[in-house]
Amino acid sequence: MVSQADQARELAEHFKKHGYFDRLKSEILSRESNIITNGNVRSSESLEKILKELTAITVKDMVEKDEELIFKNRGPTSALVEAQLLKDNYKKFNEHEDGIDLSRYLSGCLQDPSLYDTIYKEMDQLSAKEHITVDNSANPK
Amino acid sequence: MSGYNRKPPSYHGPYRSSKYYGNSGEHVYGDERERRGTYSNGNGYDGRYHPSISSHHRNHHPPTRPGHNGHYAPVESSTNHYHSSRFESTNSSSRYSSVAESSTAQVRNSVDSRYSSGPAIASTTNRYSYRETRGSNTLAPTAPSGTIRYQRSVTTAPSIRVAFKSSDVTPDKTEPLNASLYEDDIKRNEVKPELKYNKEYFNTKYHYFDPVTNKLVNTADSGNWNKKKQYPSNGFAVMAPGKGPSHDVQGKSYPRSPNDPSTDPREPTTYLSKVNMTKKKHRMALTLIERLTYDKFSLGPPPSCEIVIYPIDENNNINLINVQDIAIKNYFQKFGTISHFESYIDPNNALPLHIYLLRFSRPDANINDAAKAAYLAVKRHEDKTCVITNCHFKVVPKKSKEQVEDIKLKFIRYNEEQAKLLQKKASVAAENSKGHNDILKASESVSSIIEHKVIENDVNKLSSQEQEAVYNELSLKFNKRSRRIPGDIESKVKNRACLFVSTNFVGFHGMTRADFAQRLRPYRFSHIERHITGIYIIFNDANDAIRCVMRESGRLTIISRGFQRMPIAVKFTLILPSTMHSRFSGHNSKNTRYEVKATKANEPMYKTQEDLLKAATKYILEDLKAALNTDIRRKIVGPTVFDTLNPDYFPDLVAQRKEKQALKEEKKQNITETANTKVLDASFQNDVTIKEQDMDIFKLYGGYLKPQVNRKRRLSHSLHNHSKRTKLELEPMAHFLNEESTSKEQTPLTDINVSPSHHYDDEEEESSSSQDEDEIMENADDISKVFHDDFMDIDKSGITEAGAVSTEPTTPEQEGELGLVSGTEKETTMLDIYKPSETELPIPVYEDDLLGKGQISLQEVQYTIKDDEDFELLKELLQASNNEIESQSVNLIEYELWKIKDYQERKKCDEETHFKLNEGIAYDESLNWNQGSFKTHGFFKVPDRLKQCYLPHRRRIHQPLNTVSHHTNIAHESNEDISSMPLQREDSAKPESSESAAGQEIASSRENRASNRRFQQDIEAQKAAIGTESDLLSLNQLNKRKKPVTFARSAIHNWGLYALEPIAAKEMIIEYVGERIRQPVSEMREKRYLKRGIGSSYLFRVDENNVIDATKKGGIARFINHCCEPSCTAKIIKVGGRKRIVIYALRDIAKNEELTYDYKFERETDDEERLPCYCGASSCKGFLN
Repeated sequence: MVSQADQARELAEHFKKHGYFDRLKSEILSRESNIITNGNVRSSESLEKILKELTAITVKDMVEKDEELIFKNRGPTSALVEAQLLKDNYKKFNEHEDGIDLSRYLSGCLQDPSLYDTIYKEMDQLSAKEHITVDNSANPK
Repeated sequence: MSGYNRKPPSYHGPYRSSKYYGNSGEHVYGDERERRGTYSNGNGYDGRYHPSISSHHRNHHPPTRPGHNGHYAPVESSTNHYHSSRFESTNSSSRYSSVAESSTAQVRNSVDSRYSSGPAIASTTNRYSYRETRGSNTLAPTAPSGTIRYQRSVTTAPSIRVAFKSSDVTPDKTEPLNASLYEDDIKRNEVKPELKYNKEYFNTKYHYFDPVTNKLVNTADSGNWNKKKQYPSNGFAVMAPGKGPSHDVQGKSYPRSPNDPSTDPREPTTYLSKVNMTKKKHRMALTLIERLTYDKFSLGPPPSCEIVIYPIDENNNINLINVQDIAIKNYFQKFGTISHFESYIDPNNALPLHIYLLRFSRPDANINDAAKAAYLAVKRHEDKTCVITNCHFKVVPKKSKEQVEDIKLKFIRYNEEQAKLLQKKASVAAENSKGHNDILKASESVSSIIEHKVIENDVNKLSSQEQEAVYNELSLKFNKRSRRIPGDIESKVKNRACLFVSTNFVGFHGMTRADFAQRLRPYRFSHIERHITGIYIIFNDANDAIRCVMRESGRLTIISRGFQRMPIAVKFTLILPSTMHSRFSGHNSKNTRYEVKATKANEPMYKTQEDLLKAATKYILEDLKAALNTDIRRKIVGPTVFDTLNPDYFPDLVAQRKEKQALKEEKKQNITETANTKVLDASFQNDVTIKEQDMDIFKLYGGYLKPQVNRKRRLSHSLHNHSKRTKLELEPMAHFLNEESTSKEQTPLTDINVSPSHHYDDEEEESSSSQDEDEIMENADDISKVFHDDFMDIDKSGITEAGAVSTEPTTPEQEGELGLVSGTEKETTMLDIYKPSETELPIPVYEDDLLGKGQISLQEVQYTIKDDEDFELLKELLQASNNEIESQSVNLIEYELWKIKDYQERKKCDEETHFKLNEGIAYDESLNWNQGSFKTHGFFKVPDRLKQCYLPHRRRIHQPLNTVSHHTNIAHESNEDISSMPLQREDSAKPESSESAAGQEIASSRENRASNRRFQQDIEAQKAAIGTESDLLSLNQLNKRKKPVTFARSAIHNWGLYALEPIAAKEMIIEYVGERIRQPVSEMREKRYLKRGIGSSYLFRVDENNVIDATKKGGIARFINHCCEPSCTAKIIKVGGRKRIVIYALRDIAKNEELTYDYKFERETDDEERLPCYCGASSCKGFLN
């Protein structure tokens, strides 16, 4: 007998296996929408693209400050720079004038009710499909 | 006293008869007494016979001092005398002789504590003893049981006791003996006393007692031993210390009264315990007599050749099942040949009892050897148990069949009990499993239930209560010490069930993970972890772990690698997941994921489908957040950063960087060029001056030379071809040894105009090296011939004293030469000279340099004669006509003069060269060979003193060196006038080390070290970032600090190491690199090197165990020679946890100076083993060891 706690997890795993999860993820990243940055609203641009631009700009700024960055070993240096960018919930992205509060944006995306509904509906269908249902009669209690 | 003195004749004399040989027992007794007296010396028995002295005797013999061994002898002798008299008076029939002999035996027995030797003797003695005792009582009433003898007689012989009882005579009374009683006795025995030797002569001389009348005789002649009445008449008693009237500390005798109870003087409590005397060391146990060999004369049963072996404790011998008969046999075969082996089995179940019977035998059927083997086998295992295949056995000799049967019976009964117990458990378990669910009723049944359930793999079907009981029971059974998972492997175990085997057990038996993995293959374990505490076999499913431990703990055997290579049973400790355990054992555990899951497992989380979907959606959202962050980092930010950091995207920065680098390089080049131009300027100032580079002994090894050399060479070639040739030719002679081909090619140079120094070089080379000897000798021979044949006749002194002649050309000389060459110039230049003076007397135009000289050389004459007038004057002076001169040598005179001049020029050049090369040391003329060919002389040893003239390395000038900074200052100053410092060391006068270059070098040294450190830190940071160890990133710090050095021939020994640039004190120079080997290997290699003729071994000891061998594989640091005044020292430092040998500078070291350090060999006592030292230091010890 499989426990109920495992049921939820099992359902989630099935959700992932069916590709819904990756689809959601790529949708969030590559969806072209109006993204509000610090300066203005960037319309019809994907988060991925904006992030790449922001990263390039930030790195260039850092190189301008310390040109030795490009003359050092690129692997470790890029790791260090990357760590700087990811530090404090992508704080570095937010410092730029055309930057974005990434953590806030992500949490906003995840708390989107439409996203929740989508997931819920797909879960429902999936549970019916995989026969993962709640069965209280199986409890020994 | 006379009686005592007369004792021997009285004994051996008249009273001796054949029948009284039996009474010689008394004599024996007396001897025994004496022996005992001797024996009792120091044993506290002295004086114990005092109470037994009869009053009769006491009157005649003085008491001896207590503790005197011989005191009893006169008393006893008198007694003998008395007895002999008495028995002499009885009928001396033959039957008494035997009785007397028996008596003798009996007396001896009584004395020797061997009284009860035989009943027959005792019976015969009784009668006699009775008589004797009675006689004693009658004739000589003694003190009550005073002696050992009488006491023992009384206690052992009842008849004697009766005799004492029947005696009415009070022992302490001194009244005369009753004659009537004696007469009655005589009558009863019908023996009439008859005295022999009853003559006056004997009576007066030997006797003091008349047995017939029972009176003392000759009392007047006998002295009284107690005349002064100083001794008590009743004798002495010895009181124990602290008792009695005197309260003495030590035991003391005092007059005894008859009422005093008798005490046993042998008792240590009464007398001996506190007496300040040396106690004898009493043995604590009887000493075993030597084992007697059993032979045909031996009585009794033969010795046992059989032994019985049985387990000591069957309960604890879990490996008993592994014991095979052959193992027992093999074990006991070392004691002797086994002729019989028997192993007993349990009749109830046919299982072996592990009780063995062994019989030893010998091929020659020698029972003694077999018995000895059995005895040894038992003896060996008396104190320690016999351990065979990890089982403990007891070994006992077989005494009887019953003994073996008893042992068997004991084990059979034990097995029966165990079987009954198991049956009982099984029946209880069966009942429980059939009927009710209450498993916890009987604790014994739980284990069987567990076993059953677990083996059947249906633990999950148990209720929670049952599971609880099962796990609790398992914990109690298989984890008595409540072992837990160590913290450092908790992450690997992940709160899963595992089996544990301690590291003590595993380590002792040399078991590995592979052993367990192989043997536990049937069980579905996840993996096996080796930890410092032991081996953990981790199971994904707890049921598998339980099943494994139930089946295999104590049963699984793994062959031990450490203990006799026997299969050893392994006991497992079961460690259950903490959730299971914590609930039952009560201790808190960490809330891990697994635990949370497990605790949640029993709770109904989702009541409806909606809850389930919500929870799943929540999971998805949580995972989506994490996945987004990961993707952003890995797929977006990371690659973008990496791409952006590409230098191609920053062309401006790269260009700027390149420009900067180019500028730097240009600056460097300018610095070096300016240094080179300065060098060249200095060289142009004086062509003859030999540059330092020309004398650079390391030019042959081009590895360390800088590229500026090429440029310089090119410039020098274009400017002055001769300087290049000189530079090539003038190299230190010591280093011609390094290059065989070079010397060979250069030696045939015959153009003495070009390189006259080669002539001397070759000569000098002859003494140090034998190569090209013939050619050298030929040249030398030719040249010397020329000198001798052509010029010695003309002017010998001109050659021999050439060194003394001033070699500097003067200005007039130049003018003279010029005047001879060109007439127009002469007119212009000589105008002032020939200008008429206004003086009355003519003034000589040239000073007369030859005034006062004894011998004038031809050249001097030539120099002196300036014009025709001088020549005419000379002719007049020599009185020679023109014809004579022309006829003799007018054709050759110019040639001869040229030759002399050339020779002197060459000589001057050689001297200057030599002066430069040898650091201001003049060439020793005694090295010139003026006595024909060198070949005629053969080999000869050139003294070191002379070698120093032409071999700079032979010369040990231990002058203090300047510091490096000072050194550069001097170099800077020396640029202005090098020639003004002829004695300055070459490295100090180095023209190339200009101010800027040297300063930069020193400044950059520190910077380099700092940058090296930063570089090292960067490397380590990158290592940490990458997270993997790579050889590419490993950095030898010592290599970075290494100084430029090279090896070359050394005057000390063979090869040496030389500094290529000045080294400051305390600087690290080089690491002594080689194979790191252990001490035994180094010893072996040293022998091998000696055997192969590799005389120079390059073994350097690091510590007690490690040696670095640079003989075959190593760095050039091995070429550093020993010196008693070393310039360096070897230090052992730790780099990265490893000991390494590093050479440091002790003082400032100049360029091209040989590096040395003190080998610090131990002093060798054997002179033949000592190694001579050639370091040449002023304080050289002469030997390395």
